[in-house]
Amino acid sequence: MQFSDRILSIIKEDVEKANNISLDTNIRKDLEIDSLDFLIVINSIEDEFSINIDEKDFSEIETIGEMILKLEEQFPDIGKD
Amino acid sequence: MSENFYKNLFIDKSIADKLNFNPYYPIIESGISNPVLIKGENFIDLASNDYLGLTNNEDVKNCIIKSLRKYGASMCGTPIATGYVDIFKKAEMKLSNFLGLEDSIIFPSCFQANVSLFPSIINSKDLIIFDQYVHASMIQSIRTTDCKIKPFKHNNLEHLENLLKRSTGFREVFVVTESVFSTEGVIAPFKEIVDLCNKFNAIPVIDDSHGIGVIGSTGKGILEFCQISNYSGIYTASLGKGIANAGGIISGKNALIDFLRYSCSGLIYSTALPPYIFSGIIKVLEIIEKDYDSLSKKMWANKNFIAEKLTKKGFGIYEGKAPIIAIIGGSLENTIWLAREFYYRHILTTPFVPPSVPPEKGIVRLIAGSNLSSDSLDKIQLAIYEIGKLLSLK
Ligand SMILES: Cc1ncc(COP(=O)(O)O)c(C=O)c1O
Repeated sequence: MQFSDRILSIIKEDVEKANNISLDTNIRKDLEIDSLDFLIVINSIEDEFSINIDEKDFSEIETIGEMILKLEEQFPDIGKD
Repeated sequence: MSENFYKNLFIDKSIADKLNFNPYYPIIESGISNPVLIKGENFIDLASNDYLGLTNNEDVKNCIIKSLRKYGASMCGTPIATGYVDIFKKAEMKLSNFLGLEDSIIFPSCFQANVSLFPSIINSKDLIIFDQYVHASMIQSIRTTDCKIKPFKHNNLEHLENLLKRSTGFREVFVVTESVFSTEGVIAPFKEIVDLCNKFNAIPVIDDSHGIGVIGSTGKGILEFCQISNYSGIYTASLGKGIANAGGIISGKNALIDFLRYSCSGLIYSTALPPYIFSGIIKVLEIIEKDYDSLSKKMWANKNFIAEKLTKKGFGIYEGKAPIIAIIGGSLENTIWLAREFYYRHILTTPFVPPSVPPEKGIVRLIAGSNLSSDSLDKIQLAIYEIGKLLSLK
């Protein structure tokens, strides 16, 4: 599975309203999640890829696509296993 | 001076303006009895947390007056200085005994107890796992630490277990939850959570604010409700709800409480509660020990009566295993509207709107205490009938 698909499936698993999501989905507005819901997603990504994320680095990002880019920027080897 | 600063402190009150009704900060001109007085008129209280109807109990009031005469209004000192009056210690011992825990300390409020807890005991190598819906005071406490924090999905044991399985390499792991989630009245599966903590060598932390004096076969709260004996985790609770006074406790092992007595800033640097409060707490615990059975039977009968009428009239409600009824309001406007319709019929309720609840998941909470009169129940029934009718026309 592609890296972005793995992220999308994690979000679908963790977020109630995430049936129809794409890279353009706005995480907070479209999914109506609060900061703790978002932290649950971040923790799941950490566990899936065995990385340690600083949640604060992701406080400004809006869409799932931006989040994926940020992850790839911070962890160049992510999802390449 | 920055004018922008003050301009940015904006609270959107447009819905309250539109409905010509703001349910928050009602000015009450009486104590919490039934009825309560607002603008000179009688209201039925379904809003306060006086579950057992003890806050205006004559024996409790007499004890408090006696104590006030003996000790005065305040000890004008923090517990570590002049605040630790003899009945402070007696109330701590009484509470520990009531709960079956080794020792307790009493803070001015449970908010303060919770907020002060984690900063006092946490090391940056620890991990705190917590139910995503725990009280704002716990979230604040957890957020001020510099250790790893992980929310688990509300009451979801599978998610909690998954997080615990992956939680290796930390100094200590804490698992935090609440006994009764007070917006919907749902009780956490705390026995199972304690079992998971034992399995993964984690320390459970429970906030029993809406459980103490209210649930369990003799009103002793969540530990009794879940039949947990030899609890070795951390316990906190408010004394301003079922215990009908004020203050908050942290209870647990001697080593923890003794450590907090000398290191917890929220305790050491804050003026102790006034002495008469401790007399009130002790008296309420004595009454619960003696009369819980009859008080709780009335509380449950009142709750069941109201829940049944609401369901019959087609209201959507959540009914957990705690004596709390949550009417589903949905949108912010609908929720405030519902509270307003009860208010118009002289019934005081508590609407919960975001951010206290998720978006579009507003609820109107009703707590029917033991001391509702049959006349009040008749009025509530009539209000439910009338509001139900309005709802069906909406
Ligand atoms: C679950 C919970 N914890 C803590 C508190 C705070 O308690 P206190 O009012 O004693 O500060 C409340 C409500 O007030 C509560 O509902």
